[in-house]
Amino acid sequence: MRVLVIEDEPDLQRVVAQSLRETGYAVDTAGDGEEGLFKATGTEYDAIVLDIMMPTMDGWEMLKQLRITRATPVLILTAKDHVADRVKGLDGGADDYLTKPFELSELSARLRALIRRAAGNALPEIRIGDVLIDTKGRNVFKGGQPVNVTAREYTLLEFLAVHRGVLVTRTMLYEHLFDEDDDSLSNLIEVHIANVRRKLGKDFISTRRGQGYLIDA
Amino acid sequence: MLKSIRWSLQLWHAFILLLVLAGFGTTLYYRIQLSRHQEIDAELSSIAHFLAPELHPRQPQFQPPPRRERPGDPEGPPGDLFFDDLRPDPEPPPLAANFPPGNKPDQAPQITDSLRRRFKSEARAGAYYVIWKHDGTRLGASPGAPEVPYPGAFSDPPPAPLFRRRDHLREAMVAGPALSIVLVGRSIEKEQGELRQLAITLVVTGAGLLALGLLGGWLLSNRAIRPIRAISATAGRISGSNLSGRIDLAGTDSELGALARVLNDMFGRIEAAFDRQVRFTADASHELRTPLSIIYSNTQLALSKERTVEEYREALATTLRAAHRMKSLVEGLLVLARADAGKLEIKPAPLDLSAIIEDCAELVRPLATERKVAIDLQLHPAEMLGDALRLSQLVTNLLTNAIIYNQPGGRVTVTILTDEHSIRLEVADTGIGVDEEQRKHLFDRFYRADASRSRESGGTGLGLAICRSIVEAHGGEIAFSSEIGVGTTFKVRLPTSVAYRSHPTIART
Repeated sequence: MRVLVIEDEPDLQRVVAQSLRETGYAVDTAGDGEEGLFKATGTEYDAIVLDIMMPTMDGWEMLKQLRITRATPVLILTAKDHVADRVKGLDGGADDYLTKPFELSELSARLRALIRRAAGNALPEIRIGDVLIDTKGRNVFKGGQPVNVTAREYTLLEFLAVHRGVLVTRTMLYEHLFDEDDDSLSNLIEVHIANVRRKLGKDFISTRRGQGYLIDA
Repeated sequence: MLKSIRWSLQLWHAFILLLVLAGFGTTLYYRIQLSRHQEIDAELSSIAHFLAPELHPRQPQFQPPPRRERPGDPEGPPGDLFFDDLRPDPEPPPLAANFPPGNKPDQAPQITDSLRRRFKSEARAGAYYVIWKHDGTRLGASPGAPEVPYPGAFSDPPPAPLFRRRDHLREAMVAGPALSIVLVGRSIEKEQGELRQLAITLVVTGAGLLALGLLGGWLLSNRAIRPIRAISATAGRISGSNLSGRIDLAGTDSELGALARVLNDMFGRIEAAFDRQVRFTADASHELRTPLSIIYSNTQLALSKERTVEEYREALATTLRAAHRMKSLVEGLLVLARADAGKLEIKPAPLDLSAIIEDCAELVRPLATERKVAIDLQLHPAEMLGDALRLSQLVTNLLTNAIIYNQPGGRVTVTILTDEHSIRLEVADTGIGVDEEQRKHLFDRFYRADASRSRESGGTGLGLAICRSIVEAHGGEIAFSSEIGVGTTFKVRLPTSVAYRSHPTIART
């Protein structure tokens, strides 16, 4: 899952980005509204964390512009805590609202819920056959037994599982699993797919040659 | 209740109305009474005058003085006749003059038939006469005359009739021949009854008019008071939580309209001040939340798992930066809060402003070096009374701004100009300048012309607001001039020794 953090406070931006990366997200950052809008319209993010008080273009304006072309889930993260501001944010097209200061775990949970709902899942657990994927604890079980997967393998599996029944192209995987600075593992998708198949069964992920990958619903 | 304008108006109104009505009624009553009495007196004295000459039939008839012949007024032109008639009669001559000379007491008067006839024909029913000789012997009286006491002898014939009143009887006395006394009287019961009726009518009408007047006054005062009530009701609704109410100005073109407008203006100013205060508080809370969330989230992240020493070091450095920013913010807010309350303490002491500037320049030199900005001091001794700590804060803020909003290779020039009563301090930079929009907000709290430049140097957005508070607390002025791309010059004028005033300024945010 790939998220964009738009925050003009460098220290806070760094902390939020690092925290989300450690939770398994691919994270891009932007330091003001204009840069944020440019990135958000150019890439298909799974979610956006948006500050309001920013130079060049504030969060309200950025959100308005973004909504013209994209329906990406947006979580507003701001120091403005008035009910009027929350209402303005939610009515302006935001999907959630969190006021500073905040718990990193809460930010992470809200983002998970946003991404889950955007993909049409109500529960944080995905069950496919005898495989259970717990997106909250980032654990995988097969036949009730925990399966040991790496962080990369998990994000790949989670993305395919969230979009089960849908053909996921290699481009989509690149876009959603790796952030803008990450090119080290981009050519290793096949390796991770192979590893997941080895751990969960050969037929768990099917390959459409020349098109992409699919987990049957 | 008596303190209410309405009641005091009503009471005064009642008092004045009562005074007017009573004055009018009383005057009217006494004028009428007087006129009635004069009529009666004239009637009685005229009868007495008719009777007196009749007492001595051998004496020639009394000749009333000719009406038209007056001294100095001979026959007027015929055209004047009409007006002449309207002129009042001249004073009747003294009574004694009506009798031929040689009238002596020993020529005994007697009641003659002609007198009786005369009386019968002249006097109205109920009238009577009594006649005494000069020695008090009763000469006679008309039939049906009441008991009349002897009034006492005349020593000389009185020049005018004498009158007296006994209960409901009015009597006139004139001197007859040989100092006899002719008394003519009659009952005035009827006239007294009429006057009583008049008095009752006046009192009743007066009471009615008073009641009507009071009612009218009550309605009028109600009308006059109503807008005042509306104003106070509106003003009462306006509170800290709802300052948006205004007095309805419709139909108030009077003095009250002016009052309402003044009040509305005042409500507007209070609302604006309140809004500024609310916004300032919200801004302050917002500004504090940002470093707080950095500390909070950063610490959470650092503690979420085992980290390397380098990572811990970085987390602590980040926390320190945020804490430092909070400290500056809190200190700045404290200064401004004190300035708002008019309690920015200035401890004046003799000092040399140029020495303070030199110290501050040393303090900011590392920042200047980092930004490749030269500091040029053009100073000479400038003695004044001031608070060294606050003035250092002022100079440091101005220098820091001049360095931050400068460009590499730029220059900051500090100049001191002194005259007899004041010191002018100018801090000029060769920076980016201030555009039209920024000019309006430059001294606003939390306003940053360039957020990223400000943040890098730990700016709080309060610097210039604090500068202004410090300058104003010293009784001075601060202003700036700027040109885009050329630079900005801040100009501070500080009095050298005037009385220090503190500014109870309402929050300027």
